[in-house]
Amino acid sequence: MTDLPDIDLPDPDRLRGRLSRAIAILIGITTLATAYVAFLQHEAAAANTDASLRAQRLGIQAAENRFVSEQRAQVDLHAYATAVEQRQHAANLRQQARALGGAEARGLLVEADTWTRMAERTDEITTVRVDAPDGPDRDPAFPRRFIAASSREAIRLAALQDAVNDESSGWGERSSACTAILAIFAVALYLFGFSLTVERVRVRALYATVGVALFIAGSGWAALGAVDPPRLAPDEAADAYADGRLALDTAWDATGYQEAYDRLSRAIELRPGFARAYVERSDSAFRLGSPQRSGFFSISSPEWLERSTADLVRAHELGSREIKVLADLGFQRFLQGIQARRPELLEQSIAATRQALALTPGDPVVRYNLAVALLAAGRAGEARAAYADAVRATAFLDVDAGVAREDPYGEEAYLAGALTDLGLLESFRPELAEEIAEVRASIVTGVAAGANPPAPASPGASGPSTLVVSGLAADVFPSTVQWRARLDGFDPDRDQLAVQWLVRDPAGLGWAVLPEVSSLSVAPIPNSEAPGAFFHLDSYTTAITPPTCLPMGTYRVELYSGGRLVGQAETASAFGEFDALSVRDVGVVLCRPRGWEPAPGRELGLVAGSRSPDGQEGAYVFHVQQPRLDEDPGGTSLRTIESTMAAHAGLLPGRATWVESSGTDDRYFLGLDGGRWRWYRYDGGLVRIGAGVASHGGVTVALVFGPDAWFDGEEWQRIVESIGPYE
Amino acid sequence: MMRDPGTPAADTATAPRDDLRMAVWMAVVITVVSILIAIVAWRSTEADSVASDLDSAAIQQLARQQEERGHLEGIVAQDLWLFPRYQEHALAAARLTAEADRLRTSDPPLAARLDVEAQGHAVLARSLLPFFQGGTPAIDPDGRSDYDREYVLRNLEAGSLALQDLRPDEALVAARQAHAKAAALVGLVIFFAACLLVVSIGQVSRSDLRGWLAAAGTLGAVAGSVLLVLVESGFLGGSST
Repeated sequence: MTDLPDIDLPDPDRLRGRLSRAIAILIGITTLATAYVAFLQHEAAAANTDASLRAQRLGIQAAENRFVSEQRAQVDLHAYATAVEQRQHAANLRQQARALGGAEARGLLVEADTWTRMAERTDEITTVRVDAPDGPDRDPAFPRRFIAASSREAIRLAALQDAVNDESSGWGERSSACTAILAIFAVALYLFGFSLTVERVRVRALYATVGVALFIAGSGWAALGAVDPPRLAPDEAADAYADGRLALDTAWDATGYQEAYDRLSRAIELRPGFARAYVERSDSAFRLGSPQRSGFFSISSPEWLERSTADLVRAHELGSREIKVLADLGFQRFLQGIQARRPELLEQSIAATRQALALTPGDPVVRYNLAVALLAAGRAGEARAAYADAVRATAFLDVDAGVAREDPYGEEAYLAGALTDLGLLESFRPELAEEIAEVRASIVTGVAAGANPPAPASPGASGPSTLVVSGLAADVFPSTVQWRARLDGFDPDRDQLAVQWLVRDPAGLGWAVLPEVSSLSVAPIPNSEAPGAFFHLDSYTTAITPPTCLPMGTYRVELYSGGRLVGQAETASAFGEFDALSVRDVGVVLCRPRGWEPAPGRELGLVAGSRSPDGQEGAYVFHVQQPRLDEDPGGTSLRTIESTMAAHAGLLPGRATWVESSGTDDRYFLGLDGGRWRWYRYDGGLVRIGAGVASHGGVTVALVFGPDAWFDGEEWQRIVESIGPYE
Repeated sequence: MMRDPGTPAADTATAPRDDLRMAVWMAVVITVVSILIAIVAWRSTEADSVASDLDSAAIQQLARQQEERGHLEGIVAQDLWLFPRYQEHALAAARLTAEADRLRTSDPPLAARLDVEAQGHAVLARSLLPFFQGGTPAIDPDGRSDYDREYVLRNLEAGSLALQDLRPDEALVAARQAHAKAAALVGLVIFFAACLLVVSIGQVSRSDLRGWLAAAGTLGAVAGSVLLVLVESGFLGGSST
């Protein structure tokens, strides 16, 4: 038998006793810790339940508030509309009294006064105020701001609900963590207890060691949770968010978008985890850097694009998976990818856009975004298929069920966005120009065909198109655009002509299609003075809300027919910054220089004007209701010019008389009959006045006035050229 | 003393080592299963918390969806409230103009009055247009106008990103899947606890079943681990959250 080596081991009984005592102490400590964590778990669960209930309550309050506030706003709006009607009744009666004269004029004037007093009483029951920031005089898009303001409280409550949801999630996570810690402590206790039943010291030590490790892990986790409990964001964040959201919803220029950006930044500062605020701020940032003012925004400066993308990325990191976040992120990665020539960004774009598409398969915008990203990534075959899907989604509200969209303006807006994106791609990737041109023509043709693709030519048809476009020229005025061209071989029954107008801002950020003056099907007007020549005029100012004048920049017109681009021309605008003056009750819109103010003498339905701050230059528009007379419309126009100058002499800087030597021009005036123009002179200045007769007999008059030197420039001509009908 | 050379001596040194190895092995299994119980318990409470959040989200989305639909219906309702007034003026303008044309030679003064009244009604109709919020009525030369309620509502809904982002049905399905996952994880906790019990009994037992109990417990722990992976990846018991 071999002798075992001598090992000086402690007395087993002593070892077991020491270890057992230590384990017993650990059991006690662990039990105490378990009790404390159980208390924390209960506290967290109670806080979670409380927060959850508060969130539900806020949601109910928001819904109720929105319903009640919107109903009140609508009631106020209808009351105001009634007051407008009543005032217009009064104005109509005054016009009738002027036009008809005689004995009944006095009765008409008395009735007009009655309507005016009714309107004043009606004003007392509405909260709409004409000169308020959201009133008709200061909000060009009235009643958008007024209605939007009614939802501010509901937006604020929804933002509070979002914050409470976050708080509830935090408490829920903490409660789950406490439950898990309790489970860990339970296992540790089990191991401690089990170790006391085991004979072997090594095995006992193993159990005890693992138990201690679990106890330390659980205690550390509990300590971390106790140090930083979930906190509710300050209410001010919801206030700032509501203000920012409203500003964004009602903005139409850089000032509005800047206000939205600033307020949303404040909301984020107060609540850094506010995903929704990042999304809205991203939107305002993109628009701040964009020269576009309508349609789908595609162009933005590099600085604001970067800020916008950073916000979207942050929103995505915070868990936002909304369609807008995914779609916008996808598109902005496309922009960054083509600007920086980074293929991996294009792949990111495609991936994000596909995720958005999965959520909204019928959205043409997302489909076009995917198609252009595929084209940029060099996947031409997939891009063509994607464009075909996008064209179908443009024509059909429900492609599978074959429900046509039947919205030519909406379809043009989608097409405009797609063409703008193709223009951007071409500017950064000129080597793709040929392919892009083919795609461009193909989607214009596809969208123009709409839900009813052209039938194959029948035997009696006039044959394939022989249209040849030559001499195409583009003319741009502050409120309208016009193209002129020879269209040899044009057959209106066979040749569908689509026209796209584009503008490139002075900073050269990109060509943006103007959907307001672009069209999928145009009926050109023959030029009576030149056989074979045609033209087409489109008003931009009356087609956009709020009425806006055309921006400065370079303009391009593209004509498409028979699936191909048949002509294009460019011109640069030279008219400066103009703002729209839209007078619906007079039925006229014009563009006046920025900084001009409302002129005195406003009378509903009859006269409205705008003038420079010093009052030396200005413009007025009139609508005179009068019977349709059995005389030459030109004569009616002239008579009305004379009576208007006589009746409203006080609106001008001086008494004006007709400059007979300059005669009378029979030029175009708003497309009305009997268009006539005259020059008047007052001491130190001139008046250019025009008039025309509507089919129902009413006469519209417009004039511009200013010092002699002002008429040496072009500003007055731009104003006159911009005058248009406003229905 | 003389030993029987045909009978080998008993190997008493190997039996205690086998016993020690078995004890250590079972101790390791007990330790691993204990840790797994802690992990699975944590994951199940987390899944439960996610499921609870999804439940709340689904209810809130449903409420907001109804709210948004109500808002859009309200816009159309307000337009329809305004439409008869607009229609009245548009029709009056057309009818008065037609009547004026009819009387122009036979009764010029009346025709003149009707002309002016017609123009007044045209302006009144125009003055109401800014107050339409959903869609502008179309008007034909005879003064007849139309407001297609379904078309306007359909376009408003198609254009509402807020409505498109609200998918309460999907949220409810996700919540159900999350609850199923939480339940599966709780089941795994119980399963691991059973394994722990089996191995623990084996650890303290001195019978011949000790080895079988150890093997059963070990196999159970391995099977439970595989099931845990399947549940977490979504192949079993709900989605992977």
